[in-house]
Amino acid sequence: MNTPKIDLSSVPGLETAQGLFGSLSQSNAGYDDGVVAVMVYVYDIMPPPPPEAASLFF
Amino acid sequence: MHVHPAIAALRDACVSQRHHGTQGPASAAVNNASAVQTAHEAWFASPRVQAVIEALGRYGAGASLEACPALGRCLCDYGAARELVAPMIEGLVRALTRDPLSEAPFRFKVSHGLATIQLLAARGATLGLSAYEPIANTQTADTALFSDREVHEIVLSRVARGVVHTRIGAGRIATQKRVWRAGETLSVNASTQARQIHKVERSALLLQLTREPARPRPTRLVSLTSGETLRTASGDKSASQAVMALGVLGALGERGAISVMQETALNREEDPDVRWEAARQTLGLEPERGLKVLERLSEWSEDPLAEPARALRSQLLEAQPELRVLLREEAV
Repeated sequence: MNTPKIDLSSVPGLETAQGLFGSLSQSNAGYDDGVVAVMVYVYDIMPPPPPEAASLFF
Repeated sequence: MHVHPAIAALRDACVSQRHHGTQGPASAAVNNASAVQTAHEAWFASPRVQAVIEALGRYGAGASLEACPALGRCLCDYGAARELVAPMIEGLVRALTRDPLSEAPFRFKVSHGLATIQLLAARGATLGLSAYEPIANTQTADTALFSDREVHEIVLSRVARGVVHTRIGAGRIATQKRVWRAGETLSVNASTQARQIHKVERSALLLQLTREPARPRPTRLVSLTSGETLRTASGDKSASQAVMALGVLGALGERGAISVMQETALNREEDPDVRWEAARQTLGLEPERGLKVLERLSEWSEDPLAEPARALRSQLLEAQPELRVLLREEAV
């Protein structure tokens, strides 16, 4: 049997959805320093491999 | 292919460019530490910095700044602030002069006229440096960002001019012009106050301490003229990371994550945006289990996701009647 699929683009976000952390800017103030924290989305969870693996790219 | 000798030497030296922890210096896993990493480790290991790290941990855990004098002094005493930061900058500049391709082992970001590095972090508290360079800005700010965090700053060099906006009630914002000179301090509760630097003379360097609650409230972009909130963004970095991670797992078709997604969607302690994204991705990966999640959510009348879940379920079944076949099977 073919299992029906749902296209994610047909599944809306919440009406109350907020922007992602750090996605607001106040660049019209001159300096965009409204959110001081340095945002790292992926690195925190998945640090890059140790140096040995990097040799694969050379 | 031409390879610059400096880059070739870097390859030969097996120097890690990116292997470092989030809160400390380069890890011992690095075979040959770069000059920059060595300089940073020396600074990091100094008794003064270790005392500040210990205090930062207590401050991050909720202690008042007054109860953490090793840290508090750096944010109110110009001499103490410089004694903390100057050895790091001097060591780093010396090392970068010798080894200009080394990456400084800090998190950093650079935007127009502004460079920020994170020096130390513990729990919800971070200590960083921000350098403001003169920029030509002819615009007048008509918005300000209010974020759920406590900020203490001290100017380490030069002069910065700007304003502090304070929300003083529904739709009302009071604005005060300020000039901050070297040695002067500023503390704001950023959920009700926003400081904006508009102009610096040459460049201004600020030492900044921030602390955010475990579950920060949303950051708001507020109109300075009407006081109205124009946009909101999550104030919770970990929640946004989770939303991103769910999107990545879904895009990768990672079926092994479906159970965790289901649990996340049904966990009422979790951030609503994270829960909804978990429900969406479950629907995308396995419609059968996704529909069951929506059904469960729609049964919890007090839950903020109940109504959206009910509406989405009806919408999906109407648009794709073939999904009804999935509802007859037990999936959760």
